[in-house]
Amino acid sequence: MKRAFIIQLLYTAGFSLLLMLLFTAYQIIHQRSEYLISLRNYFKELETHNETKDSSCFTANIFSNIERDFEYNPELQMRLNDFKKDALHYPANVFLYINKHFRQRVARSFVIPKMEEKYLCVTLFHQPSNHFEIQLYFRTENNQMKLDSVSNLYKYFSYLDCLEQKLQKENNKVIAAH
Amino acid sequence: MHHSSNTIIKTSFFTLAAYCILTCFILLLGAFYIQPNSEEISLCQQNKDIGYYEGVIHMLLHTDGRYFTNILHAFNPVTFGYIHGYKLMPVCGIVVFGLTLFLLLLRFVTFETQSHLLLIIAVFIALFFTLSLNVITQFYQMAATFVYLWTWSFVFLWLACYTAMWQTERATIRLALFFATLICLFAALGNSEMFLILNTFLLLVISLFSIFRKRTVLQTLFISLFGLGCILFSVTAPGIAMRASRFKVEGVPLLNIHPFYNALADNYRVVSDLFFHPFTIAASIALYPTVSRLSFRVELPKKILNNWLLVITALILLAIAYAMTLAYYIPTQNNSGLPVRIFASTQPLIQSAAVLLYTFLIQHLLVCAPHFIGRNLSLVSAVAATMLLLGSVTYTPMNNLTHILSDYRSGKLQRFNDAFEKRYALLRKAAANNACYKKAVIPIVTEYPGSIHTGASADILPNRTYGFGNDAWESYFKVDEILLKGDTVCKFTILPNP
Repeated sequence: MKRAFIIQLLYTAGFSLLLMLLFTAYQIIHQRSEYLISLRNYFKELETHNETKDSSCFTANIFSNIERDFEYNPELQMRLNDFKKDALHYPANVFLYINKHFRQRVARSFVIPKMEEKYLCVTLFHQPSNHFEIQLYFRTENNQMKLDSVSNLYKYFSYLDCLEQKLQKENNKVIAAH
Repeated sequence: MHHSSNTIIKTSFFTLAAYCILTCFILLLGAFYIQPNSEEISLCQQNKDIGYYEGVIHMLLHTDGRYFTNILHAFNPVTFGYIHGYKLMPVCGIVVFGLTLFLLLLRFVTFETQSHLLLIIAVFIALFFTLSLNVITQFYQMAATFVYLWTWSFVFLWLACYTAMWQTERATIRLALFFATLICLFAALGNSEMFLILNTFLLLVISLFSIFRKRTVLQTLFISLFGLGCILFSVTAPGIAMRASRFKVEGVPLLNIHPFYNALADNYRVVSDLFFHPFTIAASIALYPTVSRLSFRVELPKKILNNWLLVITALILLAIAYAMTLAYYIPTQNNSGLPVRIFASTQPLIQSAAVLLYTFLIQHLLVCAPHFIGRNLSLVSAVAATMLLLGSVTYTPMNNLTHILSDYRSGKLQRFNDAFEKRYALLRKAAANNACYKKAVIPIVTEYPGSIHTGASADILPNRTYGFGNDAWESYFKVDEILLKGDTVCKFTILPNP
């Protein structure tokens, strides 16, 4: 009698546990989906704020948020200024790439988005040969999403340096051929 | 007379076994030359880049609700960096498919007739792949097989576990089988939207059966509820809405009569093609002596074999096959040609229905003319088996085996394989380079064998035209840029594809 009761209990407990796991997975996915929707809206807003819908406005908005991260690092500040000058196209402007992905179908190199403390964190895995991650931290203020900081942007700068070297090399080859 | 009849039956048995071995050999010959396409590389690489957990979540958020397929994408040799392990996947697929079907049917037949059952399953599988409407997605293309082939294995497995649970009297074994059923059901429901319909039907049947027989009622209730939970989890995944929105045709109401009609017309076409194919008829006749020797350990199948219930069962199978295809026709509003990969999924049901109906027909012929047919049945069966064996390598229309053999004889398979091996060597060389920006220029693959590969559109396209192509291969081989010979567009002249 006691054994039968224990087995019944095991059936119920096992079933409840599996159902709970399923529900937890459901909650995680739907929570992320909600984060994604708010991020999409944020990126949409950034673009529509500008009447001309020029991509430079989008980048200007982004930079105003991240400039303070480089306040105490003159070298990086300099790089950021350079970056802003020609940041109208990808790859010089990685944010255009990120924006495109949030507005359309998200690439498989993104992990989006999850909560880290009070920040919403988006990770982009970049450069295949020398893997690095860029993390964008968003926070909600007065029901509005704001980009708070970006990590590893300096790695992206060195990636751009590398690209520049490559382009230079190819240009030299073309000149030599002529 | 009796002695010669026995010899003929044995000959028929061995001829059928030879047909199965030959089919297996030709299919595996094709498997030796297969290579992954760009989407598969992308699906596997994603899990390497962002992690298994995040990879599965990403797919559920953006691509579909097939949670278990996404788990399988995360755990396979290609994801673990062994790209040649891709060639092993068809072997795993066929072994698991056969084994799970055997485990399921084993619950119904007696120990003495297991060897007969084994032959029936082998012929069924051989016929399945010989006549498969899309053997590439059904057998060769790893990512597609997770959806179209492996799902069947999980369905067989959960049914086998459930039947074993029903049959056992030992409480602890029943408990273990209960959990095994739940896990296999979880897997079976997370692979394809089409199989949700089949599994719902099966859950309904076991629930009614359990209530009617007053046996394992609590367990069946839990299993059905859990199944319902998995179905809800799958259909409410945000990715499924994204997938549906990509297929959605503007201005067409969701509940429209046309998809039902189109599905019916296409089903009719596929069913009649398969039913009246000489191989199906030959296999049914050749198998009849083996089928009639099976002895069952449960009562219901005995009744089924002896009356019109056989026909009703066949019709139910066809109705389920039709309902399964609706999962594709309704959201896509398809009216552009036959979606063969969809029917490759329902083919086991259609094939089973054909075998049941032919068995019924032969039985009735035996009743009508018992002396004439009965005397010659073993001979007819041996002739049918021989026709099947010889036809498999000679009969051309709708035969995947002759297609593979033809590609092999013309050297297409070998050239295709060599082109990819060369690509791997070039990419590995580029990845080993010390440059901060690693670039590889690879030759264009000129020939794609239609018997084992979907073609150029699934590979790297010139000038980074579309899709997963370059990005996927670059990530997998840790190279910054891949160019096809003759490409004029390089990586950063365009914004990468989402």
